[in-house]
Amino acid sequence: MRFFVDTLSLGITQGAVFALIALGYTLVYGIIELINFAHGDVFTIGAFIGLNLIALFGMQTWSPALLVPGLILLFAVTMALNGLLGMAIERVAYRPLRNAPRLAPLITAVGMSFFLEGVLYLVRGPNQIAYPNLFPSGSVSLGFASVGLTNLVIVAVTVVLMVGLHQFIQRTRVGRAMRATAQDRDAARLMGININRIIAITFFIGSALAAAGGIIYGFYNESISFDLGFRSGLIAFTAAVFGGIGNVVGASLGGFIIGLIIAFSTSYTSWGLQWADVIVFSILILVLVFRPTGLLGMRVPEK
Amino acid sequence: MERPKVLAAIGVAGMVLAACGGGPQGGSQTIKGTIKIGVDMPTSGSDASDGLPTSKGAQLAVTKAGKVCGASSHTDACFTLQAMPLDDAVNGVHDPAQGAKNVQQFVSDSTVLGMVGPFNSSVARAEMPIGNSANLAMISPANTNECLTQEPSDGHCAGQAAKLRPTGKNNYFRVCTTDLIQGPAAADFASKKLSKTKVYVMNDQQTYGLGIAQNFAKQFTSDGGTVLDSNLGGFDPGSATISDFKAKMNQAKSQGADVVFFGGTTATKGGLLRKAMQGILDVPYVAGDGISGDQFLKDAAPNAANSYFTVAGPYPQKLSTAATFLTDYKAKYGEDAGAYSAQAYDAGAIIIAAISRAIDDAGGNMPTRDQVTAEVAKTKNYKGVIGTTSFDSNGDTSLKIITVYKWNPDTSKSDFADQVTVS
Repeated sequence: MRFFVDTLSLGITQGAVFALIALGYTLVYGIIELINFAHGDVFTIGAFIGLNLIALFGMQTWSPALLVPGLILLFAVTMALNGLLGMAIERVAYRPLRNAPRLAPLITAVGMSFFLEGVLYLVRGPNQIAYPNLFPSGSVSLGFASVGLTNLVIVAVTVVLMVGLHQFIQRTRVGRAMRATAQDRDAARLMGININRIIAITFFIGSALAAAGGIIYGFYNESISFDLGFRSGLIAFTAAVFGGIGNVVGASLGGFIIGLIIAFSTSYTSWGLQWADVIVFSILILVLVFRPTGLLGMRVPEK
Repeated sequence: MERPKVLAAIGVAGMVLAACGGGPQGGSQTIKGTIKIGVDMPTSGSDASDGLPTSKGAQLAVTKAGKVCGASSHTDACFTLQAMPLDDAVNGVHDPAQGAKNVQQFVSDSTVLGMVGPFNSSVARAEMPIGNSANLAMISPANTNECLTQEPSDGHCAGQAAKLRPTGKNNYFRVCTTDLIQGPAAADFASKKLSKTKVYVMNDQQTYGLGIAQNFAKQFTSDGGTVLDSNLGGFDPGSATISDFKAKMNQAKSQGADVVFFGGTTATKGGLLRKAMQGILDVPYVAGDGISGDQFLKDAAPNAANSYFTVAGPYPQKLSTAATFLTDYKAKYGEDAGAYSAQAYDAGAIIIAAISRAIDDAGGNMPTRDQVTAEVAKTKNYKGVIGTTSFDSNGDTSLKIITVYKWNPDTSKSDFADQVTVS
């Protein structure tokens, strides 16, 4: 039982990170049907921005009373900065190709991914870099098992962000404009929606969520490296496809499910670790073959 | 009978250089040209803390000698020695393809008559056929995978050693012993000295990592212990994350592991695995020489304590023959020698001694690579820093010593834990 709970909490916690990245893929795809392969590296950069801010303000030594507002501020500032980065990437690399054949922005996205990874390598080097965990450590005993406090806080933060995103998309004017743009870009433009602004906002939100995922990854694993985003990005992309790319709830669900699949297939079998990847990407292929719209499907009409 | 003269020649050269600050040669010696010795190690990124001190050890042997003259019949024919150090790490991790390119670079430079390296067995596999085609003498200070040189009777090497030598002649030697000794030594240490009975093994599936894990598991079983995961926990070091390791450590804990063995290097995430054990599995961690560089401490912090590793060689600080070397190294580089610096120094010195004899073979002229390789193969009872080295017909050393170290995070150094000598 203890083993089961350990595996469950590991799966949900890493699933939370995958879900936060997957949201960025799914939001961007929903609006402009671009698979933003640079998103995994945007996630890594978010983790590094968070690390730099923590070091800059010496947050490891802050008292617990100060730490709670400090952490909220840390997340807010990191997410804002990373959001701006996402907007800049869209402006520089994708907007000029908006009306080009679909393959062109896709290749630009792959190129942007290599570019970002290369810059991270040059700036931070190839080594593993230690990350402090500012979330409460220790664990809650359930009698038959125990759950890490860090895991609980991570899940809580993730759920808050997801609910916030959902409310934003469903309740606000900008959210409505995003949905309208996703449904029919031309009609939305005719209705007076500034398409460029909406797309930029979408990149901002996606990159901001990835930054939250990056900090959470750092807190949980206490170690990051420049090439972190490559595999995490691909897995999160699988999660987005699994949940139904373009579907926000689907991406969240997909992230958690993929996280659990990886944790259980790793812990409960004697297979080597790379079998987890085989399973994950087999799921990607099976979903694409048998249910291209994913678990929940995309809630936009045929074009 | 040639040996003392060679040493004397090198010693005299060293003294002359020391006295004149590298100035002109004395007596009737003439400098006839330059001979280069290639040094190939991973010297950047996560591998640098292993590879750089090793590369420096080899370079020290070259700069200390300064020049090489004929051993006995042509002591007046001398050549200036120069080290040519290259880095085989790409993105901070040793890369077989880069190693192959580096050896090609050595081969294409006709003044390179030998090389020290590589550090990693997987890199050696890529480099050996290239070096072999040019019959370039290669002496590795740190490759421990047995299949590079041998064909053990159980056939687990599947004829690799022969495939790595397309010309059929041997050009590859090593001054460290193999994982046939190192893996079992680590297993004996875990089961007898640490009194552990249930091991959970992880390996990076590379030439060295998988090989040492297999040799470890075999001996640990025959010592009466249990290997919990018969697949030896293979993973892809390029993509495995700390979360994946945590999942495997959860499994290890549920199966009651009381020690973890890692086959691999720091660059293939050995330190990260140690870190992943924090809060999950509080048991000793044992690995081979792949984690001997201090990057391991940084990657594993704050969970680096209680970690052991073996090194295929003696503990230099305990050897009287190594005292001068250790002082010289510290004086030149301002830091203590690494776990394989002394081996690299001896590897370089053995090549220089062989070149010296080859100059005689060439009648006082620039020797060919064939002559140098033939002389390296003849190395018998070479008294170096790490002890007395002779090469057998496979190119393996007669010096079969394993040292066990324990990482000490408080001093950021590794302490002596145990030593095993196999006769």
